[in-house]
Amino acid sequence: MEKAARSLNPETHRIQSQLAEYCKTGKTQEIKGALPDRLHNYRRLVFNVIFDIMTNAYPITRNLFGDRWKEFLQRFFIEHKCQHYQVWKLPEELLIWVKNADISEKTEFPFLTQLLEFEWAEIVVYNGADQEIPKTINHGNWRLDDLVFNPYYYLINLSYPIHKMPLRDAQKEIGNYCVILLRDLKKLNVKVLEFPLFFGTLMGQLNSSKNLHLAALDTCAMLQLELTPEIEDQISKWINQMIEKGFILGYRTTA
Amino acid sequence: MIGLGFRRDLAEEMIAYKGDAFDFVELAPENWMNLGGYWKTQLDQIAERYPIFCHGLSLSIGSPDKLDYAFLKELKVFLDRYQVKTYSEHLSYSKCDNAHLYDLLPIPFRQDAVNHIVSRIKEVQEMLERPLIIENVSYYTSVAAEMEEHEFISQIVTNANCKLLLDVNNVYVNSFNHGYSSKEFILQLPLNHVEYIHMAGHEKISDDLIIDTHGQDIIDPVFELFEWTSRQISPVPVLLERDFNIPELPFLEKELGQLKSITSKAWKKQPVR
Ligand SMILES: [Fe+2]
Repeated sequence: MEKAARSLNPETHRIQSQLAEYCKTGKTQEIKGALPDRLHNYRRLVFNVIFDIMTNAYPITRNLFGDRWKEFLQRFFIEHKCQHYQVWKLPEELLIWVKNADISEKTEFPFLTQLLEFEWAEIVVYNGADQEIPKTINHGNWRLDDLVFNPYYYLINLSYPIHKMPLRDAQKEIGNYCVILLRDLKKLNVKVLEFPLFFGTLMGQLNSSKNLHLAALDTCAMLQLELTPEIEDQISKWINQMIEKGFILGYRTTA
Repeated sequence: MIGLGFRRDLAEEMIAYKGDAFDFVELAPENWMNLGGYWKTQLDQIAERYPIFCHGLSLSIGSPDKLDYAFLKELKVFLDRYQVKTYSEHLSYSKCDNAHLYDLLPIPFRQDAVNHIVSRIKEVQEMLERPLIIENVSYYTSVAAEMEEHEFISQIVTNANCKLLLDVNNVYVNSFNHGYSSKEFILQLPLNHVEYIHMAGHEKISDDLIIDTHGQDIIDPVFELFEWTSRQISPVPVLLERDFNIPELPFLEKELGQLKSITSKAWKKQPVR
């Protein structure tokens, strides 16, 4: 038996569960010794927290749902047990719930999970815990030396270009978009970069194989290309561009 | 000592503030833990200027669920990092049957709940290696009560030998909503355990119901109750809570000034605990 449950009577536990359940679902049930005409205040206050946090986290999705946003969140709140003790992290649970849930909105808005993930990515990049960043220099040899990437980024593959056009238009431009949300280390805001397919694939490879040269070889194999001097030249240019944009911070140095 | 809640809407103003209307700031650790980027820089800047008091949201001391040890571990790191001596939490529950509700639900005023909470407070204090200060919360209905609210609070505070955060506005709100005398209620509490005071505004939504919103100015009867209370206890830090409808800092300075003038009259020459 759980340690904490020892001193609490089952009846007290049951009453506490009933109140919590009522706050989640709004389904009225008699709760011993509670004033029925006051209980709804708890349901309202609890749901307001959920509503506010989700509305702030997902402004585009909220607009998409319009009048149905509240009902959508109510369904989420009834069906899902919120896990995170930090409420600012709760929006991720809505994203995961939508991914796993069998809901008609996913057919109605086929881009829904991408949109939620895109909006959540911005929060992750903006708020993510600070990390120690290794020392870098601006020049090096990418085939041999380690590149240091800005650690605050989120790579997302979109089939709807919601990162650069209104939803209405994005639905007509289905394709393959590799997008990175990136924290600007000086302004501390979030910017969005789009990569051509080659570099999007390269980034995906880099996560697993670490070294850029090996990742470039793997990327070429995946895309059925050969790593020609021309491609190597493009990679060099891309690295310089990315250093300018703050996605690559430079070459690792111990000096 | 007078304090002001550190809210994002006020962060820049509070960091740049040059006056002496507040001496410490209070924040909810759950809203600032594990954060990086812009808000972390704001937090670090305010922490350089003022002592940080923490007022938690997710401990859920009255929950039937077991304590969240992973959370407590992370919380301790945060409290240590910002050298937080004053950590308070609500005498309520906000998590039940493995689901967070992110608001303060009323605990049944019952003996088994008292015992349950006392053992949890002791465990939390041990884990965090600092005292836990428990706050009386406002509530809109009691649930399955078998004792009075003041008995419930008093037993918990004395049996756990913990400190009490006396929220004067919450006493006022509860005395209105449940029809009792706020002063009699306060006199029945173990006042020697009071370590900290909260003051806030509320909203009267009907003839018989006040909701504790922290979104309005403090009303005169709450100031009067605070003045009376301050004469019953030794000097302690006092916080102005303002969570919604946040006005500009100069406006809050006025309320902070009122709190300061009440305490300096009531607690002449006595050092703050
Ligand atoms: Fe309070």
